[in-house]
Amino acid sequence: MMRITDTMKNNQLLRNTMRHQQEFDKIQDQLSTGRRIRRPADDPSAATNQMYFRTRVQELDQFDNNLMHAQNRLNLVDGQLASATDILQRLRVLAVQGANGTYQGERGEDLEAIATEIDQHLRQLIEIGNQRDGTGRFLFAGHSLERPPFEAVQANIRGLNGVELENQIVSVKYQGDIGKQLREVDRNQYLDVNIPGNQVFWATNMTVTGAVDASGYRATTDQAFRIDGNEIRVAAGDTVDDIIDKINSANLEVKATKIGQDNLSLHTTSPHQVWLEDLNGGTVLQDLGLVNTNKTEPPNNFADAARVSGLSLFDAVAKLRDDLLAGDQLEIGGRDLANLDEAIGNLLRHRSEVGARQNRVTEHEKRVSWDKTHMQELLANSEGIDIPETIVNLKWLETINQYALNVGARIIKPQLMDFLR
Amino acid sequence: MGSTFGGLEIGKRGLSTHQTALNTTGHNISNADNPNYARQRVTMTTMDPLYDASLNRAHTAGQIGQGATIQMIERIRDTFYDDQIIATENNKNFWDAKQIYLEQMETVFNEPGDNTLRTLADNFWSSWQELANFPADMSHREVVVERANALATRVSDIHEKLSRLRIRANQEVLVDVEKINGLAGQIRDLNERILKLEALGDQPNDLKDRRDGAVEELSKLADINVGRGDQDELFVFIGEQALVQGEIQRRLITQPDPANEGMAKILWEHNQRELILESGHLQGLLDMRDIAIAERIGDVDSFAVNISDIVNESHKDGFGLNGTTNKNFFDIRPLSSSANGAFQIQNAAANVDLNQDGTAEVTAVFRVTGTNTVDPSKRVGVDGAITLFRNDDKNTPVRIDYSRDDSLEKIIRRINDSDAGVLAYVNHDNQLALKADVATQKGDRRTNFMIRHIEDSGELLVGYAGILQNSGEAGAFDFRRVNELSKLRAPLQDITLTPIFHPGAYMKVSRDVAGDPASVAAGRGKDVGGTGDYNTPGGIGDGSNALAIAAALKQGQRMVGRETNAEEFYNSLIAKLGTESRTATDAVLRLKDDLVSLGNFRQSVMGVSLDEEMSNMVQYQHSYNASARVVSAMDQILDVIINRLGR
Repeated sequence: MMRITDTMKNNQLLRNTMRHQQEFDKIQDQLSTGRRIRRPADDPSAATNQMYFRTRVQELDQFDNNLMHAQNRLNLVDGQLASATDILQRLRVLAVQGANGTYQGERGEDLEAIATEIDQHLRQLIEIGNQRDGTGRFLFAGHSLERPPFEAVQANIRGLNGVELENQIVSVKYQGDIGKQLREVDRNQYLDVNIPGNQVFWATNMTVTGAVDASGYRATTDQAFRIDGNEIRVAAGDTVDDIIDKINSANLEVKATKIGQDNLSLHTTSPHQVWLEDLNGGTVLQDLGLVNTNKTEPPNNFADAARVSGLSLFDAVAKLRDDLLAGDQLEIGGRDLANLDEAIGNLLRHRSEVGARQNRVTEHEKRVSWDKTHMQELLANSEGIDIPETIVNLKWLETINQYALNVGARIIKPQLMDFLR
Repeated sequence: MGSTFGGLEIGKRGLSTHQTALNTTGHNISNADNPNYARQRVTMTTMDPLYDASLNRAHTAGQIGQGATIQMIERIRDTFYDDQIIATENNKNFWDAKQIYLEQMETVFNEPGDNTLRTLADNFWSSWQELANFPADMSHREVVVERANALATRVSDIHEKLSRLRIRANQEVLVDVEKINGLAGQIRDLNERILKLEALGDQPNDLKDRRDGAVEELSKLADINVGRGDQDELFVFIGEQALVQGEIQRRLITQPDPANEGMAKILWEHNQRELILESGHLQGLLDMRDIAIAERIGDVDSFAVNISDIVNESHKDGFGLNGTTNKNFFDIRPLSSSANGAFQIQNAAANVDLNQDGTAEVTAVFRVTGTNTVDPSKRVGVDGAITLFRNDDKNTPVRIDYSRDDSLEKIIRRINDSDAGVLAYVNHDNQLALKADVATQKGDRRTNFMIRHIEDSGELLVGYAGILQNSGEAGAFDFRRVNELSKLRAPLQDITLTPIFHPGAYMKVSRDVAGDPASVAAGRGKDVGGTGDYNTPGGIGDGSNALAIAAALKQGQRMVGRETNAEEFYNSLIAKLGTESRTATDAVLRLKDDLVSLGNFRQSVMGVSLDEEMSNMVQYQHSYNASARVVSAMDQILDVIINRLGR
């Protein structure tokens, strides 16, 4: 049988009360912070989970933010495209009027009035093309935000009856690029929120034909070039037919053919400006007579000898005005009206594209907010305490502690000495 | 027939015997709260009775008792429990030392909290995302730089706190060694005194208690074995070495160890051999100082270097608002240009004089990127074997075979799984890159972040990926030679040199970027002229490089240590720390409970029970009184004999 000494009783009491105090401390901390664990050692796997959840929540917050900016920008673009569509509708009405020969007046004043109105609309359209977003950056310039994407070239033109009209817009240059504005909307998922001006404000299909006889062409080295930003790789020894095959199978809105005396010709399948770049020191496009690498960057790098056709929206409107002033009703009713219709069609196509992206953004927003709720719930489950349970534990601990102290006080106090005289 | 005064003598013996017993009881009561005290008992025995078996004995019925005497004052103690307590105390203090430091390390990282290295890294990532939203703005660049500053400052702050913790552990080591010497000295002195007293036939109970106390105190510090075989002498061993052997004490000394950043090495004074411990407080401290804390410091260094390098790698290919390119975002000060003079640049970049003998003997390269573009999912089409060296004390070669049908992905995984001191990944430009890891536990920390050896018997690293100039042994890169940069194909801008020691302490945003945030490269440039470098800026509205950096930080496969990105690396660091700390806390609690019950067992043998002493006291008191009564009865007898008889 074990001998019990006073030190033992004392130790036992001390140990139990100490343990209770530690438990009290832990419960107090849990109740006052609402958190179950204070440091990783309390529950290493829960701590790791919490860190992961928190990082994920922060990440989702950022995606949410990215989506909000994307949505704002798309909304702005959509609004601008709506105004442009309205203007084009008006221009179409004017073109129809101009084409039917009724409004001619004595010396064609009516036509001149229409032409003046068209010029105003043209200026309005350019303004739309140069529209800025909330932070003052151009909406339709791609990456080239240093200058307005559309620059109007003004000159005096010949009006009706040989009267000079001063400072009319004769052509519009695109100075932006086709750079993408990517937003990360979920891990490794990117959404382009940019619609380059040379795609949306374009009226007709474009054709670029090189003037070089390509029949004997062989690529000298492995190289690459880009059409509308898409890279096409060329292997050494590829013939022009191989290259045409590669372009046509690259799923672009540009198709290649061989026309005339084995000249390479690119034509768009939807109205936009073709963007051609030789890459990494390659020379395929230059060798085939499409671009001149010595010239400035696209879109103004077409080779001098290459035949380039295709009208921007502004070109089409300017041409309408000029035709009105020239009284060429046949051209107005024919080509010009068709150009306008194509331009409207192109705008609408881009508006539905913007709409589709807006939908995608909305879908992602839903996903992200659902994910976030889910993560926050997991986080709360992992780090939060069950308050009723903790309080019940506290009460139970209080009771135990009371008993322990009570019993301790009774056991420690009496000694044989108290009864000896 | 006994003497007339014999009875008086018996009474006197009773008096003195019971007085001694009472004194011992008093001694026990006085020491009731002394934890090292073992209760003492007076062993009484009868005096030799009359008469011995001899011819001249009196012819009476015998034998006649001659009263009581004290045979010995005995200490009641069981060394069985002592030995168990020594072992348990030893173990408990081992974990105690660990637990305290691990908990402090947890405090340094402050996880899982709201303001930690992780949240700062998350914010840094977010700032790149925001910059990608508004790539043409200066204000968002300022935010990127500020967040980077906050991250870098926190990294160096954590690094400093951990380093200070390590220094404190070292100081405690010195204190522990002094304590061991002091306690060993006490034991030696006590041995000497006990020996002398025992030679005189005494029981030096209290000195023995003190010696047992000192041994127990010593057992908390080091894992000692106690030799109680010899009756007179106590032996204390640490491992095979005797710390105290009777009256001989062997001292421990400390010496700064240059191979361990000047931390103290513990040696035996008499033979200059290193002290080998297995547990105890001192070993706990050493474990913390040389493993747990040192590893965390290495992790923070690794975190700093890898984040810096990952960001720099993409940042160099981008363009700032002001058209600048090839700028580092974070500073990585190369070892070879360290300003403190110890490791000066020798002849060419990357050559370093590591052993400080005046000439460079190693080439220190952290990362090298191949010059060719690769597709990691395609089969490589070449056969061969890559040889890499593990970063340990023996430079263990690791051979990784590859065949033509393997995809590069598979080979990369094989490299990264083989613990070869080198980590492989494919970067944002689809180039294969190799970078160094920290030294293993046995390795030299000075060679952290140095690629040790790259060799390829085939063409994978040579013609295919463009890392090495030539295959075979002759073309191998080895850090133990100088001017090895010539073996690599990459130009200097695609190589990161090994950073100075403890790069975590020096992480900071480069001066180029901090001084002019317009240099923050949000836009991806173009490679015009086929030079393999991005040399022409795109428009200012391009945020793709910012996105690339954000992606590299989070989803990259760039390998930080064994993990594929910084977040995983950090999380596993915390998880490991938490688990270690948990193990230590649990062990301490368990051993504390063990100690309480062992202590109770021991107390049940050697502890003083006041009730017991009280009842003994009453008993002795009564006996004393009775003996006194015997004396006075004898006195009356003598009075009768002397004064009244024969009148």
